[in-house]
Amino acid sequence: MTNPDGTAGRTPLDWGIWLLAIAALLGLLVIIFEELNRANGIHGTEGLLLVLVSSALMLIATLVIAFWARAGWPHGILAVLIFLDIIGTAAAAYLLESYLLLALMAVAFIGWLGHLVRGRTRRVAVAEVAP
Amino acid sequence: MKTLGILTIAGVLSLAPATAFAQQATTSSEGAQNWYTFNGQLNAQKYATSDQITPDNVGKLAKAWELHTGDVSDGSNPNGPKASDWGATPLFVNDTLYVSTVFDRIFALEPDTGKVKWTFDSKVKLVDPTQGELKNRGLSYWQAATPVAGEACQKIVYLPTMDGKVFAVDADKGQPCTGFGQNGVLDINQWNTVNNKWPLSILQPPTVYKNELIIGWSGQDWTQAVQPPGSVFSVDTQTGKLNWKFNSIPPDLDPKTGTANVWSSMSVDEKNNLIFLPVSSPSPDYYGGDRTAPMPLTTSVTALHADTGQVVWSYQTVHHDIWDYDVNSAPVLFDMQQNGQTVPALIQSTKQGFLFVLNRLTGKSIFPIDEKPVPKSDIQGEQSSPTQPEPTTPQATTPDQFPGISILADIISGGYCSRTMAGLRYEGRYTPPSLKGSLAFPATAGGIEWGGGALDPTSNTYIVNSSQVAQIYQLLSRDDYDKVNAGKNIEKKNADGYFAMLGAPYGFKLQTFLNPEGMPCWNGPYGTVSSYDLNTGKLNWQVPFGEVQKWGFYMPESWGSVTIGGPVITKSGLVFIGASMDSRVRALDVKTGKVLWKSLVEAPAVALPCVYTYKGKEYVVFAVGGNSILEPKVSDQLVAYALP
Repeated sequence: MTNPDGTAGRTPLDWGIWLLAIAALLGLLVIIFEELNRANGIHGTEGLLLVLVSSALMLIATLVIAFWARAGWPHGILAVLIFLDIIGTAAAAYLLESYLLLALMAVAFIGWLGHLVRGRTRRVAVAEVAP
Repeated sequence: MKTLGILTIAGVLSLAPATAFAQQATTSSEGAQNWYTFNGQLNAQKYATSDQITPDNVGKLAKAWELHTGDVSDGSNPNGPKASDWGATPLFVNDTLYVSTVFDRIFALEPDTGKVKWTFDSKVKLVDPTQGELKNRGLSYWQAATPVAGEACQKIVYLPTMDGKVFAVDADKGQPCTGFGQNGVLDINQWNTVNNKWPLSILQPPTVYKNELIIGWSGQDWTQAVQPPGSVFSVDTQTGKLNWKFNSIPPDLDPKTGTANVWSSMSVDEKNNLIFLPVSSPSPDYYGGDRTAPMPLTTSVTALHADTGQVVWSYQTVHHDIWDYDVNSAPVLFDMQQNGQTVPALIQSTKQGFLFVLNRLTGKSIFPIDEKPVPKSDIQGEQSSPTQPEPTTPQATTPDQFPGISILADIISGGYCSRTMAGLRYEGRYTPPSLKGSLAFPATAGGIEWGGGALDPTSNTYIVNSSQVAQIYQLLSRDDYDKVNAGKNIEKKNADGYFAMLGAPYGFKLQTFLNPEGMPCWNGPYGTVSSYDLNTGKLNWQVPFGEVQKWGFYMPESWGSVTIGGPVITKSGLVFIGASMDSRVRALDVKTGKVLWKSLVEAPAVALPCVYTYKGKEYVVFAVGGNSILEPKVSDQLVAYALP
């Protein structure tokens, strides 16, 4: 079996990217719940719409990395954009006082870091086995 | 200041105590703590003796019940009622919670469940002759000294309306008291006979004292120069028959001015038989060139003899007011401990954030008040006062100087704030309105608004919320005013901040100093809560209060929020307050100002909270109505909190 990056054998689970995806998905669900809940002080606001879009984009970008862009410059650009998305969404969540969303962004950041570390480890391993 | 002298005071002191007449607070169950006036008590202390909810357990406070009255309007329907502005303090008395609505209805509720006992619908047309919104700030309650069981109207709830009527309703049954006025309705516009440019409105519940119903009114002192002169009516609580009438403006000046009315609540010294009026500014608000004769009762706190309406003393807080610095809340009465002696005192808060502490029998200041030189008007015909009174103790709730341009607001607006500031006249407090525009800080929006402050009489700790708002005051020549406002109706002009002041040589533009993005151009905090020791006049603490919310984002707590409404204090050491822009109600620690509990409600809760104890349980009730000065949110939510 050959992996997309040319290494042989079964790919170890990229737990980071999946943690990121789950956090983004849960974040999206939290925002939808906040939008449906009229008694939270942020229902129907521009700020909530903003984090709805940013979380949706985060989920899409994460899934693109998970399934298609595991390496190369598309991966690099998406990783940077996801990082900015996490920071921006977390800041917005803080100002919206949506602390569950803020916690999920912290989880998303851990996932993002985990994905990067795993990717770096894998690249080092590939370099070591290469002639 | 006008003092009628020692003889008058002696006469007042010799009067029989109020308990010989009707009173307001004794027919609830034993052990119940009532909240029987807009301010809780006639002395306006807003103090609850309930002590079940404490700083230690307030964090567990939970919603006990909630009611939506259905009486709300956002004003969006051009054929429907105007936007509502509900600031009604509920009353708890007669084992019932009473609350009025902006649609001029009364709800009588079970105090522990919120279940409706009865409702009364005045069926008045929902008109707004003066305010631009439908407003209601609550009810009044009276009962006979010894109510006769089974006889109607021994206990009466009074509903004031925007069209100047007072409805008297049996407090037990919700039926009209037909012996009052005309079939249970008194129309105060029957006495609106001088300069009656518009009908009088009543937003504020009348004050009940003994067998008197004392009624002030609201108008619109920004539209015309000559308006109905400020009057207060005392009528019999059972018949509505006029007892006496007070006028704040000398009759010979009626052709030149008007208003200086009492549009907010009053307080009563039951022991000394005195009524205290917060008297507003004369018309027109921002130009006084046609009303230069002395009017010592305008923009004042004035003490009246309760039986006759005769002035006992008056203290003018602004001379020749051209800033719309209405005295806008009931003075809080208390007994000051000073040098081992008890001094009968009152504290009057103002829109400028000043706190005047006066002897309530004489009107003499207890702490120093300086008569400070202030900037002179450069408007032709205007004769601004060369000095104004400024209390040095207690220190004002607002800073003495404009707090500077907000760098953030200035950068975001590409320098709009600093450019605008450079073109304004600003020479500190009392900078007069000018043709080029003057910066007013604090401005008419407050300082301290109509909720006033609260006082713990056991320690004479006074708690008050205050806003820090900068506004631009610009006079426009009549030609310029007409040019700018061509084709607009009066409502559109008012909404745009253009006040006609018809009959004066100038129109006026009032503008809050915001950048084009809607951010305040000045540095915060925009709202605070302060605590004072009134025995010494010293500030205990001052903290930013509330939060500003924009696009859903809450700004830092250190910015605070502009507030409308006021606090109440409980014996256990808590302050309950809504008032902020962020639609939250809070409990603060009296000792520190720290927020110990907060809860989200549907709109800014500008009504004073009502605190009562019923069947051994303490409740805190907020009427959540919103206020267009704070946010365009409205609601009809009445929510009660209690410990689980």
